[in-house]
Amino acid sequence: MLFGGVLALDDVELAVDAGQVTGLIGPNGAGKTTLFNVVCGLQPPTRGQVALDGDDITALRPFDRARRGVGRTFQRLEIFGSMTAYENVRLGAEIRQQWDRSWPDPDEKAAEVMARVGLWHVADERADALPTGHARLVELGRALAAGPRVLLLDEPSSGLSEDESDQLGLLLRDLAGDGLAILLVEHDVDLVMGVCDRIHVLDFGHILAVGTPGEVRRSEAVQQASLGTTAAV
Amino acid sequence: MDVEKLFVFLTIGVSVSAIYAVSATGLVVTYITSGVFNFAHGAIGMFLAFVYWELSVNQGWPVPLALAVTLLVIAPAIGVALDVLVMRRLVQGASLATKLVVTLALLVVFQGAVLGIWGVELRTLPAFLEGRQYSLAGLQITYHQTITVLAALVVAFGLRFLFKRTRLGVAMRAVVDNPELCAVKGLSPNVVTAASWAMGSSLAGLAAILIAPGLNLEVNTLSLLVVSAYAAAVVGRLQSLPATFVGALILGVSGELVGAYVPAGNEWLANLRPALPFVLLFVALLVRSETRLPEKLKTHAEPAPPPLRTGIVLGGLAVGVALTVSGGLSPFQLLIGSKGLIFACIVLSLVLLTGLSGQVSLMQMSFVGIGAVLVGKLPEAFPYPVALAVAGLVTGLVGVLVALPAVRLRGIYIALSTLAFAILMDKIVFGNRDVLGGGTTLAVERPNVFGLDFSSERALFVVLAVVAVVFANLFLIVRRSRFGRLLTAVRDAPNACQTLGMDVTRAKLKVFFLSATMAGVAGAFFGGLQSRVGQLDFLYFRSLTVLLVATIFGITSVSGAFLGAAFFVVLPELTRNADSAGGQALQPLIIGLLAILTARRPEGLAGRLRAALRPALRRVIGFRPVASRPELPIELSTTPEIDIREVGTVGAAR
Amino acid sequence: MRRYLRLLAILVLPVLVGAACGSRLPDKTLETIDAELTGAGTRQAGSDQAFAPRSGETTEVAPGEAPAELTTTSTTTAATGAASAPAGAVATNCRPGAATSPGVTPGEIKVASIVTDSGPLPGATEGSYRGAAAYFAMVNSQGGVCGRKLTLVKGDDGLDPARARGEFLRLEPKVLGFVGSYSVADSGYVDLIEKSKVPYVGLPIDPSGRRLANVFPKTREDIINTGPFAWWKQQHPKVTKAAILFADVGGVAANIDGTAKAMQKAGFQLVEPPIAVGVADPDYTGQVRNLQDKGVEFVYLFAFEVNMHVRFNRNMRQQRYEPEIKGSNVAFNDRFSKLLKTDGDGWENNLAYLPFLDPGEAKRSKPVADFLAWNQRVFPGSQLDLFNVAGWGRAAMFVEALRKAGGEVNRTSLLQSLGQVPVYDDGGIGVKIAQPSGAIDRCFVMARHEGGSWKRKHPANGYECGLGETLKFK
Repeated sequence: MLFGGVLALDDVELAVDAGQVTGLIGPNGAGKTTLFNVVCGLQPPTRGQVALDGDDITALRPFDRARRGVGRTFQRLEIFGSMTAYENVRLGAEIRQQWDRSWPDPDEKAAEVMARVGLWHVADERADALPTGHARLVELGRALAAGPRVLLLDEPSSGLSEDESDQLGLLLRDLAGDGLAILLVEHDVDLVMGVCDRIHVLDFGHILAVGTPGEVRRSEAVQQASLGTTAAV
Repeated sequence: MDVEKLFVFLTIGVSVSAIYAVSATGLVVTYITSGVFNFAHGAIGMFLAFVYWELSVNQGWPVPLALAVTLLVIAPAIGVALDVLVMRRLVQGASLATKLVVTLALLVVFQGAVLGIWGVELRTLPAFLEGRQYSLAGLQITYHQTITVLAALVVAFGLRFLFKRTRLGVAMRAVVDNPELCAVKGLSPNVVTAASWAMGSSLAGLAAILIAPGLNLEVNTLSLLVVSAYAAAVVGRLQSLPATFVGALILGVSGELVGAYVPAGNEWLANLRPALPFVLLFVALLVRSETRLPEKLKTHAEPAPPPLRTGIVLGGLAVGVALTVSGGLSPFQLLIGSKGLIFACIVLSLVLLTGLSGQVSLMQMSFVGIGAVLVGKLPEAFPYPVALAVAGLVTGLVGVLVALPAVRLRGIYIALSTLAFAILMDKIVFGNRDVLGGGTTLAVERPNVFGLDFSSERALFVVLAVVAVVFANLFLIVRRSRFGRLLTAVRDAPNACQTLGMDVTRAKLKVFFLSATMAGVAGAFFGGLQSRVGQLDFLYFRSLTVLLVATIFGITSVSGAFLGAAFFVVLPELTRNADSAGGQALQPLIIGLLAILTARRPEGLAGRLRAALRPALRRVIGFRPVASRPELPIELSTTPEIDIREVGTVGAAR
Repeated sequence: MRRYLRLLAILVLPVLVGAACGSRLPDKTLETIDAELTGAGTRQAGSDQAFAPRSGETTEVAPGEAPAELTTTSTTTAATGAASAPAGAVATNCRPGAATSPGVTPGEIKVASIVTDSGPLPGATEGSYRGAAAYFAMVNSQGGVCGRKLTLVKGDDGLDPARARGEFLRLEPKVLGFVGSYSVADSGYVDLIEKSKVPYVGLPIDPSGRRLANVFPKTREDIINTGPFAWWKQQHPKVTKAAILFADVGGVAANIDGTAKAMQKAGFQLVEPPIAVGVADPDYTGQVRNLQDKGVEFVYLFAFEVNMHVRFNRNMRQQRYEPEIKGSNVAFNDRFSKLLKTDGDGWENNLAYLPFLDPGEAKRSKPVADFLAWNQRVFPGSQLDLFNVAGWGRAAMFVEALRKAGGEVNRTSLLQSLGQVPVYDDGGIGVKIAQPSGAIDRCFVMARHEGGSWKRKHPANGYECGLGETLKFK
């Protein structure tokens, strides 16, 4: 993926399975957000494909991919700032209902998601007044309200306290248990190690290592490359 | 094929291209570095051309000295001042609408400043080495033309050197995406942006000084010509300087070749030449493909819309008041009032498009014009309601057409697209004799429905009050609806909407259709109010002014629309009494400065008023904002850490 | 003549190109006028120019109205002792009667002039107001009309039709009529001129206003004087190939036919139909090359604004194009000379106005002297142009009709008298147009730019009325 002259991703292959939480870790600027953008269609790849359930969706526009079940959150928050947290979540369901008549009443869906993610306590706060951590949760809730099959999460725990992080971890495992395929990009290595079934390690455009948390922890390549990743913000 | 003739025009074309290139480059440099598309670029250049005139002609300074002072001292000073005082304070991370409004306001302020300082006498700037020319390969080339080309080359190579080889240059390229990187390189981002604005100003000034000798040193001409340079900048994708130069070359040469070879008789073709830059702009937008993501920008507070019942009651009251009061007003006062009501409708269409949905339209008055012209052109036999419907729908379709090329691109391109279209319409459509019927104006009938004739000033006033109330309620209905929320979502975070499954393009096109339809219907009434419409009524500059005034008073609300319309109509009456020159400068200065001051708050002055009045209102009307969500049964809260809020609270005040 | 006036005026339409003619009132002038009007002037009575000292007041239009209009008022009964015997003819029933019409009081007659002053084309037609105001000042200094002083209220349309309409609605109830209006944006009120039947002594720019019964003077748009072209043919018998270029603005194109036919009647051959030229074009090299290629020896520029003319001239120089005859119909102010100086030499102009030709005109013609003197007196330092001439002329026609109408004047009687004025000639400084037929005669003056300024070329004085014919072309 060429980007202003700099090769952001070079020959990256990544698979995410239903019912599993797949982790993606690596230093800042390694290209993780770019990967997300390519997968959900906001940026076109220079080469390569994106496939969902075996179908090639590389040519599909972002909203078409979303309608096939690809959902995501954003590292640089893309929250609907002028609305409340509740309204944000509900909008996820409202958008879905626009093209999918069978989707339940948005208010019901929103209530369900708010409860599941644990957002009622900020329900009536304006989204752009929320601290980052809660805002990220709202984004997660909003994505869930649209009923995705695949969920790409870009640093969802950033700004959360330890306890909240743990809660998030539980939620993710719960969602995976419901059959979602989750791709988790994170800085919080502990969270990743604790939650993921499989981890990919990315380093400036290449996959360094792939495996279970244990395997990755022991991998030499990763140890070399990750000197200093824990220091990254 | 006359080769010599071809070369004559190529030569002129290259010299004109050089000027476009210099101007467009300045624009692109500031855009790359600060993320702001400076609509005031041309106006700043114009201002500097006047300064140069003042020094070199009026004060009699030697040309090199005047040039140096203007471009190397005054221009950078202006640029840095703009950056420090305006851009940094207002614009960082601000919404697109805010950024645009601020630069548009600056455009208006600079024009007002020129009028205020130098008045309105026509002046001309002598060319460099005026009148002298030399022979090259059989062609007559003036020294001035040669100087323009040299200037462009110096700019091109100078900037290339700057961006590739100097620290400052590299920092300038990086600072938008990566401010931390600049800090690492040892240059504060502030210094970098200040430098780029200084550079942008100087380039704007240079371009204006180079092109002014061919024209009058006059406010409107110069500003407009530099608008043509936008097309070159767009061809350069607002990021690549070499591509910008190519764009400028295409622009300049094609303009000359059209002038040379297009047969003179045809009126449509004759109007094509001045419109060519804008046609090119349009084409460039059509073939653009976007690789960079739209930026995520700041969002602002929304006023809670009143419930439907309140809207209807207040509306009915308003019409009642209009009916009673109108009996006692003179025709002149009725005219002013009617004008205000119509502008309220026009502003409401903008509130829907720009305020609610975040799509900046710089051509609202053009939509109004289309509506007016359509009603004027339709045969008398058509019943008025049908004519209205036609006016609205056709205008709506035009709105979709204009938005189509640019809707999938960044918001700035939509704004540019509308601007280009507005100018195109001014020249090709509204300037066309066939369109406006023989003379220079077109008659437009007043409403008559079911045999009732509403053409008296009083009847028209009441009809317009009804129309305004309908428009206001229509807007409120949209605002409260799901569609309204979807539009707000598109405004706040278009990327997120895409990834949630919304066809954002279609949503934008829908709102353009709706807004243009509203403006078209308002246009039908506008035409009727004036009885005759002409080219002057729908000029692009009026669209800019309407947008600015709407923003000052609050582009997100109904009350903002009405207050803004009142201001728009009353201001000329107030400033008319000022001394001629002062009066002319006063209006743009007031509007421009107010817009800059209020730009950060889209809720505008109306919003402030409402906030101040809200406690009183609550007591009087018992007005409660609409609930944003249904009440919540207590059992749904699950995790122990989460506080169980008082769930009876509905729609907290913002 | 009238036609050209109109068309030249239409030039000011394109906002975007700032084609402005005439100049703004210098800031100082307002104070000077006030000083004048309050009798601070130092002129003494006695000369036949009637520079009588006046005690004046600045009156307002109505209580509560904005006081920005300039009014020229004066009472002169004290000054020269010739209380009610001005130089002009007096109607026998001149006793001031009761007020029977808006704008008429025992001591004063009030009319209004709507012009384009502020806005995108500042000062565009303000000269028309000033010319009329100057004429009124002159008449007032001679005792007014039937003992009433004449007041002119100014309206300003700001180049905005809606605002023009507003001005009309505001002023019409208060005045006897409109005199010397020249509103580029009058499309906003032409329908009201018709509806209100108010006497309108001015030229509506919107064509639908020109045929109205209550609009004066009457003009015809289907005849043209071929005199100038006949003269040109006389002077250059061998020249045949000609071309007309016209400013592509508003209603100009509709009137170009006449000129084309006149040229052809005079024996020239147009190499192609009249060519529309963009007002905002920075460069006319294309047109120049075209003319060169076709061997055009007589180029005629129609309704070119001064700066367009300057540019065209520059392009001609660059391409070394020097046709034998360079004709135009633009010479209404001296900007051409200021900008081009001797580079403008060789251009010949058939729409010359006597006041602008050379200072000597004032000695040869009293109306011209009056025009120059009174404009200078009331508005010192302002630049004169064709709009001043128009305003002056309209005011003259109005006063003539007013005198005929007598002391008990109202709108109806004024309209009647206007219809009886036999000739319109810009208050003596322009060519004659028969009224109410609108028929013109064959008179013209040709000027040539020589030595950096416009000079009379033909005839040696007065008008040439013996060449060519009045050609009906529609």
